[in-house]
Amino acid sequence: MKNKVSFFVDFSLTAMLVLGVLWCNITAFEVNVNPIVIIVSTLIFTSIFSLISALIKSRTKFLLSIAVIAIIFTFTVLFSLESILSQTGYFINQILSYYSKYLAVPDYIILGTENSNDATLFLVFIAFILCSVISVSLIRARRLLPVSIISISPIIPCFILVNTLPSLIPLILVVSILFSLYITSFFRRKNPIQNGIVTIIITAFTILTAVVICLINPVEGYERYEWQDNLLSYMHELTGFKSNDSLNNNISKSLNEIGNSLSEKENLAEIGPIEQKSDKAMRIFTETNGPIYLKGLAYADFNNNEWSILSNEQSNIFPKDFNSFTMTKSHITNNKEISIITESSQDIMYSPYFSLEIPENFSALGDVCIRNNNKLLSYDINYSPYSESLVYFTDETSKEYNRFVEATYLGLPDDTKQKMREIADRNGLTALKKSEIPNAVKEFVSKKGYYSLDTPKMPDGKDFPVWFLEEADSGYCVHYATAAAVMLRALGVPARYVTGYYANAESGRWTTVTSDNAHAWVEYYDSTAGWIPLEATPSSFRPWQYNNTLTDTEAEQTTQQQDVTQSVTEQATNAPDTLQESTAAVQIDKNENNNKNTSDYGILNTVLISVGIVLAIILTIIIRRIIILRTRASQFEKGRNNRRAKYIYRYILKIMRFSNNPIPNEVEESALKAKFSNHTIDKKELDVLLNYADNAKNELYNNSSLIKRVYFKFIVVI
Amino acid sequence: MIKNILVYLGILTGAFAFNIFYYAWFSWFLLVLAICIPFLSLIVSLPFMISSAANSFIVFSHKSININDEFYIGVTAKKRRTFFCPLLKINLKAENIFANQHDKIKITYGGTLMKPVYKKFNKLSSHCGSVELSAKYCKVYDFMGIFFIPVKINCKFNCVIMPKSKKPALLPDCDKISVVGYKPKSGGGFSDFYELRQYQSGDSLKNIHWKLSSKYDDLIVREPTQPVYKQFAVKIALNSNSGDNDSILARLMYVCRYFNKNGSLCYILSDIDGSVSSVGNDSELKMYFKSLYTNTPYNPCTIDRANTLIYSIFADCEGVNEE
Repeated sequence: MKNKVSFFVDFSLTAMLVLGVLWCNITAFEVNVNPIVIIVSTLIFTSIFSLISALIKSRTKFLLSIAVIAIIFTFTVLFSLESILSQTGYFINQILSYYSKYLAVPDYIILGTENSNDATLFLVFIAFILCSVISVSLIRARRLLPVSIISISPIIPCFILVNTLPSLIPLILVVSILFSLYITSFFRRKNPIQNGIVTIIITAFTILTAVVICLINPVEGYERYEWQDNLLSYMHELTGFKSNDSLNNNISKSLNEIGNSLSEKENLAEIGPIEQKSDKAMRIFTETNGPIYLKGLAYADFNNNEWSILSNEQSNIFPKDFNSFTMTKSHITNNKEISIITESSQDIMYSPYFSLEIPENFSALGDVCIRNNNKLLSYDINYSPYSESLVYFTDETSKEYNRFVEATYLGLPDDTKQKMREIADRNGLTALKKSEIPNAVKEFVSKKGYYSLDTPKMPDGKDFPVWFLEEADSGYCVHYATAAAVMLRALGVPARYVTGYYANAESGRWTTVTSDNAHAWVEYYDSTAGWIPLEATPSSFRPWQYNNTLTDTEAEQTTQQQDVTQSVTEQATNAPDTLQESTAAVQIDKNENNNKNTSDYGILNTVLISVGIVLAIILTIIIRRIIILRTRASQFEKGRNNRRAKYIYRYILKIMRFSNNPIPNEVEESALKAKFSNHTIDKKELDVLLNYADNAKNELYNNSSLIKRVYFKFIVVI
Repeated sequence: MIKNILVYLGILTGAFAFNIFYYAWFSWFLLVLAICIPFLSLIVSLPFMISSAANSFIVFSHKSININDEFYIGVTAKKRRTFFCPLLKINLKAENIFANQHDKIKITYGGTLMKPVYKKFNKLSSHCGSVELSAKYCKVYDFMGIFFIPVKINCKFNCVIMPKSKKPALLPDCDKISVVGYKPKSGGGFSDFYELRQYQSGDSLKNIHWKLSSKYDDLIVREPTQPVYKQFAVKIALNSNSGDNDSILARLMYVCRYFNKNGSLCYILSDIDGSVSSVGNDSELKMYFKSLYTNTPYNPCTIDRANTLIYSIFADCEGVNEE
């Protein structure tokens, strides 16, 4: 051991790396362990392997020592095999318990006959393997690649899902150590004796940098940038790549694509009194009289007084091939058709409840909305008319979708949840059966205050639903829907906030729907009936409705005109559309800035993709060169001499294509002999060929310009 | 260094791809950390890089070594002051014109440079010749080997690769060198060989052979002479194959020493211009090889070609012929 400092640094790094990796898994999957046992055993294993690696110089003795330790350890494992198996089973089940919520994996496996709720022994076993590989690689072989592979592999399971992020301390420790080892990898190989101090300094700086990065953008405040999603969707578009989870990718992609035109978030803290502008939004034609809900967007997350649609992470776990828009059926088969003509092209379709099918050119984006793929201005939908008195059922129940709903539509901030439960307690809502809760909540919320579009903005620092239920005197659809949805969630009923239009249709006549008809309401989930709308806004709410209905003939003419407009729209670029629906319920905002941003991102994407392509080409050229050189070296060094001579001569001919020098007779004769005669080329003749090839190559390089040299080196591979 | 930059770009690309496909905070953290890493390395290295560049370096090697011996190139600081160099890279151009060998040598080192650091390049001593090593610049890199400061060193030095003596299959027989005649010994004195002739004016009285003079009744003089031997000259048949040349020079060395040991000069005949060089001892032999490698004449002399036996050394055999 020439330098004790280097040894102790490597020893410490190994121990910290192993413990960090283990702790990442322990904290990510909440595995029960005895920390003292793991720490002590890791230190012992690290000491043994580090000392063996540093002190035993002879390769044979070293391998013998490792073999002896491995045999001893194998016997120890064999004697406690049952315990290790059951603990392995426990560890895997802990991981599966997280995965099975979102992925199509079994939620439980059985390993061993014992039931275990602790994985100490299993992790000691893993620690042994990690310590052995890392110590030997770091101290003896001084190679970083095995260390990186063996350290990163065990923490990969923590990053399959987004909600299994390990505790930050071990994670930062592992990442910082790996990066510091990477920085010092060259120095480690060149000067192992002085490596210790350098590694200490670099590790300290790396940890410091990592901590600063964490402080600048902490986990809680992290928001994914828009360009990342844009780039992802652009890459999907460009490559046509679809993973196995293509539907989910499509959801994310489509949501990202139409994201700019949608109000992905509904900021409740900003809403105040609203004015009705009565801008025409659409015309509808139905066979039935009465109110009709035209659903646009469903919001999933409630956080910081803000509703937001499914995040990319959530859409990634949406069950494949499941259509929530057509899942619910009515007992009475009294199917109707509705025709809708929108005033301007829309990215999404406004659909009535309980659609029988999604028309062509439209596609469901998870359970968020239905996408209008071709931005059609008019469409027809078959549906079962909704009535609160009817009984609905679903023949498409999916266990996976139920799990998705449970995971997605029950989420609330802890504070909000606690306060809402207190309100529910005070009003006797917690004692109800689950089936009674929706109506009770509706009754409770709709009686709060009075309906008014002049409801003032919520004071700063308040919790919107709590403020509305406890302090506000009035509210409109947004207030009532939010309060009801949040209350339902707090009481354990999956619910969500939905926006769209609520219109009073007249049978057999075209009805104009305006921005005043924009509305927000609640949907709650029933595992037997699917999503059921719940109107929590008090009955004093009446959507403003135009009476200027059109005749059928006029409507047809309008349809034709709209079709022409549509084709023009399809040809044109996506010009910004300004639907001035000032209600907070539906804010379809296509402003110029968004489009400008999109085009900026488009340029950035193009640049990044171009850089990526260039890097890929460079990488391919380098890999190709390495393969050719290795193949050539093997052809020159292995096999019969005649065969080798032929390969060398071929190589010489390749060089001569770019060099004007004639091939010497001696070389040519040897090659011809090797090729056409029975003469066996001896080592001397082979040496002549090899020397000549070597010299010719050097001469070619020396006499060439830099560009030509690069060309010869990487393209021609001389 | 291109390799280091490529490796880093690979890591950065991986972090970037992870950031695009993985939605949670960690992907962002990893990307930012990956972006910061080279700058972190630069910040830590920069003071050392600047002090190293200010100190500058000296590169040196052996003056002369035998073929296939270990060839060391040493690097040391110009000013013998303790300093730390994160990563030093020197690209040396090595040329052995005699063996037609051109190489590029890369010396990389990181650490303190209080004592000279030696790097082994045995490839350079694989063939006989004069290896000329030169470098104009060296580069002082950061720890990751991405950023660098160029430092002017302008070094140029030679190392002579001597052959290792090898006994040829056929050796010239010194004992059988025939006497082709005698010539008067200049200055007279004692000799084993004498020539008898009539007295001429000016001859020393001491040289008169009295007994014979009395017998022939004329003054006969005994003149000391020395024998004239038939000479050996060694001719080397060098060719373009450096391996063959190594073998030829190894046997030449043996033959030269053999002649010198037997008390005679070794005449080496060049097969290119026919010039003759005489070698009398090991130091002369060394000088001869040096001049041979640089293609300059050494100790030129003339031989009586009529009385010279040519001992030729070929790549795979030897032979003796009259010129």
